Amino acid sequence: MDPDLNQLVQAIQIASDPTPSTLHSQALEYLQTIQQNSASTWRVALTLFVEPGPDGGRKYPPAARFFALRVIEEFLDNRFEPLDEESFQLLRQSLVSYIQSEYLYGSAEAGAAYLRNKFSHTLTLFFLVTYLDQWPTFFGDIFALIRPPQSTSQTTFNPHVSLLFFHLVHEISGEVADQLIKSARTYTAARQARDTRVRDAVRDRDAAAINEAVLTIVADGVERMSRLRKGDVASTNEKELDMAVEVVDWGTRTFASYVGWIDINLTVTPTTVPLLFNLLSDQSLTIRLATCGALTRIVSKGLKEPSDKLQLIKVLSLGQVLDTLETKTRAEHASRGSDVDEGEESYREALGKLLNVLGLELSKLVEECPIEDICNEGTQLLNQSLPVMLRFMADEYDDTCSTIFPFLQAVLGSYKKARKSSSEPLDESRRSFLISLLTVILQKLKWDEEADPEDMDDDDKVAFEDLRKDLRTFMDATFVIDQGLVSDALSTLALNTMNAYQRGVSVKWNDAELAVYIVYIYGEINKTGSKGRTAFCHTPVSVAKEKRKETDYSEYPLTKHGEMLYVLVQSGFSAYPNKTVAMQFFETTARYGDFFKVRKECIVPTLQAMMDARGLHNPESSLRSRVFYLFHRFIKEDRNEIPVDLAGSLIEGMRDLLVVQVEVPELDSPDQDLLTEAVKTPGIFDAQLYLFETVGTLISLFYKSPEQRGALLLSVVKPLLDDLSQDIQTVKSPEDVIPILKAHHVIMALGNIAKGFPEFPSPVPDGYILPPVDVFSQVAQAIIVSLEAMNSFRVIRDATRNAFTRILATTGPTVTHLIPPLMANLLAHFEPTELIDFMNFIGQLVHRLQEELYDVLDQLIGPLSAHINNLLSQPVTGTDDQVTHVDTKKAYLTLLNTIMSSKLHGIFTSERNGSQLEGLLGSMQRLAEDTSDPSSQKTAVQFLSRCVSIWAQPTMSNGDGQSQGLPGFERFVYERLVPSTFSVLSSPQFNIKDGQMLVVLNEICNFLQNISKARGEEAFNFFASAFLPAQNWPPDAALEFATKLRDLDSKAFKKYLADFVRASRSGS
Amino acid sequence: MSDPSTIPTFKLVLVGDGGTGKTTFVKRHLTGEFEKKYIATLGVEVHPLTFTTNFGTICFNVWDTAGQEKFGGLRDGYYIQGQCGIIMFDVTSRITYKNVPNWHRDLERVCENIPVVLCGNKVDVKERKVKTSQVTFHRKKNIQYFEISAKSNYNFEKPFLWLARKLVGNPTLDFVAAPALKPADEGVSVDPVLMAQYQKELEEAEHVPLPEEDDDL
Repeated sequence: MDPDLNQLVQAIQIASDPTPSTLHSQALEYLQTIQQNSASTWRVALTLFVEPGPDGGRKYPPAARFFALRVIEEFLDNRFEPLDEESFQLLRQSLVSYIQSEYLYGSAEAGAAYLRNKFSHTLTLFFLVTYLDQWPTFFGDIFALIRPPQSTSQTTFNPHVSLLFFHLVHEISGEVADQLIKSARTYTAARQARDTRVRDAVRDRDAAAINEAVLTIVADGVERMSRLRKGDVASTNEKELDMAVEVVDWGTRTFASYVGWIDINLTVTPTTVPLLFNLLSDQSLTIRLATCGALTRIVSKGLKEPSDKLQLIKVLSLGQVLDTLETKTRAEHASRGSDVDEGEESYREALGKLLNVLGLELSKLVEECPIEDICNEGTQLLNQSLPVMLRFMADEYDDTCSTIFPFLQAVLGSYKKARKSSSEPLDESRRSFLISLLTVILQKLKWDEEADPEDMDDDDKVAFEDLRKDLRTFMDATFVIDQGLVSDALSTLALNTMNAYQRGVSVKWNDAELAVYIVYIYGEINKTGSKGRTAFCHTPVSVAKEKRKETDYSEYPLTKHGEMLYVLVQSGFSAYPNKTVAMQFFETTARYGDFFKVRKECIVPTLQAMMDARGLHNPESSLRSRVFYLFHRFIKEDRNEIPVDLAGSLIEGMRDLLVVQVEVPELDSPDQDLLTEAVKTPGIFDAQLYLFETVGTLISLFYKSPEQRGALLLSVVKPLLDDLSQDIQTVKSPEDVIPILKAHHVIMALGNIAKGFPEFPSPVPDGYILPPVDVFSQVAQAIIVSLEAMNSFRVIRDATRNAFTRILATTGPTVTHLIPPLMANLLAHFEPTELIDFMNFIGQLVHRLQEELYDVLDQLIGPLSAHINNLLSQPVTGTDDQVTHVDTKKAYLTLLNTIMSSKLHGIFTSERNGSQLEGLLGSMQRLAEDTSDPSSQKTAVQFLSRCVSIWAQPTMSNGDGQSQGLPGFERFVYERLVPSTFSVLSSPQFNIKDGQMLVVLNEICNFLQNISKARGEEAFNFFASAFLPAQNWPPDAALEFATKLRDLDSKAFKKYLADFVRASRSGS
Repeated sequence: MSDPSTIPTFKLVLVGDGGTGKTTFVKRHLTGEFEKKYIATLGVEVHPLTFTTNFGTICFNVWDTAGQEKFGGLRDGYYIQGQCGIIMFDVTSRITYKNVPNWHRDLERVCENIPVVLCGNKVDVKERKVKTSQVTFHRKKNIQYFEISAKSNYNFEKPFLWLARKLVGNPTLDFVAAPALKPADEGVSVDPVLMAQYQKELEEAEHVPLPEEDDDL
């Protein structure tokens, strides 16, 4: 193929213009062909790129020439055999003379960096193909171009060629030594070997010269910068200064790019170290950042000998340098006052990162080096950098603060390790470091006084909360090293603040918040092993579980955390005039419900705060709704400590909040469904659900007087039921959004009231006091009636399913008679998208009602299975499809397993469905073979396994007449299922090292052992004499397998089979 | 309305593997619609996206480039004169993340020193394959990372806001009017708990040391 040059240029021009035209797709296709045929089209591309124009520039437009480079790159990339001599010479001569004319004598592409950069990559690819054999003098030839021409009086290096050279070396490093780029490439052995050879050859032949060239040009640039900055050259030379800065910047980056893969003795020398330190505090920010990068590479360079590493770190003496620069940049930051300079902050951040890498390297050295002298010296250097690390950590910019976290983590990790192996008290220097660390942590934990957490950018808030979490992990680590240090520091700060406030001393909001926050996190940090009540008071001996309720804990002294909580409740912080502080109070009290079991006098003041305008009745709905949840949590935890009279007044105090709140969102587009949106974003109703649940819990406390309990429940549900019947009257069409939503909310609320009651036990113990079943039946009946009236609305169907699940959980089978009308109405209008929810619901019902659900399920399972199979056979066309597919499969398999485990398997063999059984088993077998979805695979095997344990039982059983064995089922097992599972185990896709696959294997073991259990001797003979020999197993191996299958317990057999599969893999 | 000719306009180059949702992301802003079908982009499509900020209106000319090799057209030729960039990958597909360094290198070569944002799309999908803690590329290259969901509008404007602040050089710049987005797609809402968890993982991941470069030991 020899394309026409002008046509190519034209096609590129058309393709460059993004406005659609008729020729556009034609042009793209044409370019695609050119690209694909680079083996021949590169010649035209080369001409297109280098062809000179009449004015000394290039003939063709830049966009076209840029594309030409693509074609040449396509030709050169991933080529591992030498070029033919003619092609090589043509390319070499064209490219070298292009560099000469364009960069040495020409305009360097009029400063178009993208052409230079792209070209440097093209040249790199050419280098990779030719350097080893055809063009060993590559670098020498390039150097010849950089050196100032002898004929001129010019003394400095040509900056254009210099920059081209830097980009070239940078690209070469990228191609042969950059791990990140390497891992983004598809691995090939040929490429790997070639890159290694190129690296070796460069080290051998040219590394020293390259490095010298880079450093010489950088040094020359530095000198030029300083001359230009002094202003002893005309002031018009700003452009020249920029150029010099760019040269130094890129020279430093280039240096950094090869530090990792060439000899350290070349890069770290008595001249480079001062040069780099000089640049580390240069005026130009980009140079400083590039230098930080280079030093980071040097410090983290892998060296064989620990002594070399130590020597390197000593030669660099970065510790002192960073100490000085930290102090300097901190002073500069302070002098800027409120002026923000992001660039300078990013420099400080880069310094922090550098210290971090230095610290990590020193930690590793100390940790791993067996030679004591080196360890000691390393430790000394490490200790010197600790105060600098803490200063970075104390930076008010959290990005800078967090740069040293890995270093800190390593230090604390080694302290932790040392503590584990020694019982000596912590040495003084470590102790004092930890004290300083805790001071910094406590300071960083505090909100900025100007911040308003209840009204600020979400991101900023999340970022601060995450920082707190990180700081907490450091406190955790410190706690392991010295418990007392941490608990003293925390409790002293919190108690001092709270006591001061109680005494009437004024406390800033952020100090108050920090004090309460410390009480909040203390339980997480102070992991002394005490749980429950004993976390808050010292009990003499552990109190037996059944005795805990009647034990009086009030006489036992409080633990430190107990004391903090006690002071917190007494301090009056719940009434602190700041929302964040008050909310932190509620968060804290709701978190430590067990405390209130040992100091019951604290319950009433806490609940008072929760009930009034600080909490449940807070005028701000966002805070109010959060307290709904916290109140719910508190009551749930401490319900047994709440006497019925208190429960009664709590119910009265929250009655006004038990009216469902309907909020209708604004729609942004007309094709949205208002009902769906309103249910998805229900506003405060979401939190109200917690209140309904809580009121259920509070009512259930009246179990000793069932009548009063029934009356209370009725008094709460009655207004809701009235609302519901009114809504039924009002709803005439889908446009009646508000009444439909209200009905939805009411149904959900009724379900949650039931949820507040204890779960119905199974089996029912003697003397169990039933919940108020009559009232709940009434509620369930009312829900069915409203469903009948509104079953065309999906949101009503969803709410009904939800409420029924909850009511059944509380009442047990007493409302089962409502299930048939419930099903009829749920299925009257059914949307495909409900399928998964519906299956989960049926699963719940099966689980709760067991055989009571037989008839319903018998009718349902056939159509349901047909529907699912049809759905799963549809092709997958995108991410959404894929997800729905997997979810549907999962829900269906879960349902099938629930049916089996609830002993409802009779529905599969019933008169109605028996003929479908083979189809069902066939599809399960297919899923059980599908290694691409191990989670479904496992569940499918589980299902088959359950089938075996029921249907493979001998039909003539031991006379109790209970056997449900299916005649002939064992044949299906032997002929179809067993071969199928063995084919899974031997399939190349079955990777035993993958945890998910191991789970599948375990399930297969269960399956096989179930066969053995069900069929006994027959199964043994089948495996030992028929099946395995037919699979070419040697007789002794077959016998061993059959014996182990029969005799081993489940765990041992799993291990046997796993080892067996592993061994058979390594052997093949 | 300000005169269109005076609106500061920036060329934004949008790159990443095919099928990661680049076109869907852009169209979401333009029409408010969520594209469920996948139609591979040919070459490039340019869409102007305007945002109202507290400093006036700004416009991004988004060059939505083809992710698929065979429809690439000029590929990096479209990056020329780009002033900022977004690299997109799909958190439900590992390979798209693995390719990020290649996209970044190509972009960096053509557009030196431009602000770049990495976006992990489709975080609404619960079965994600690239976990937040596994995303480390941005830390190595000092670029910004956002998790987004074009489908549920999660963090839609974040990449643009970040780029706008960098380009204008003012961290106090803010979008004053929310762009005309269609509310989250039916059935898709980003689970705040899940998002908080991702956020947490991200934060934790920030402090995990990066794997060492393997040197010539």
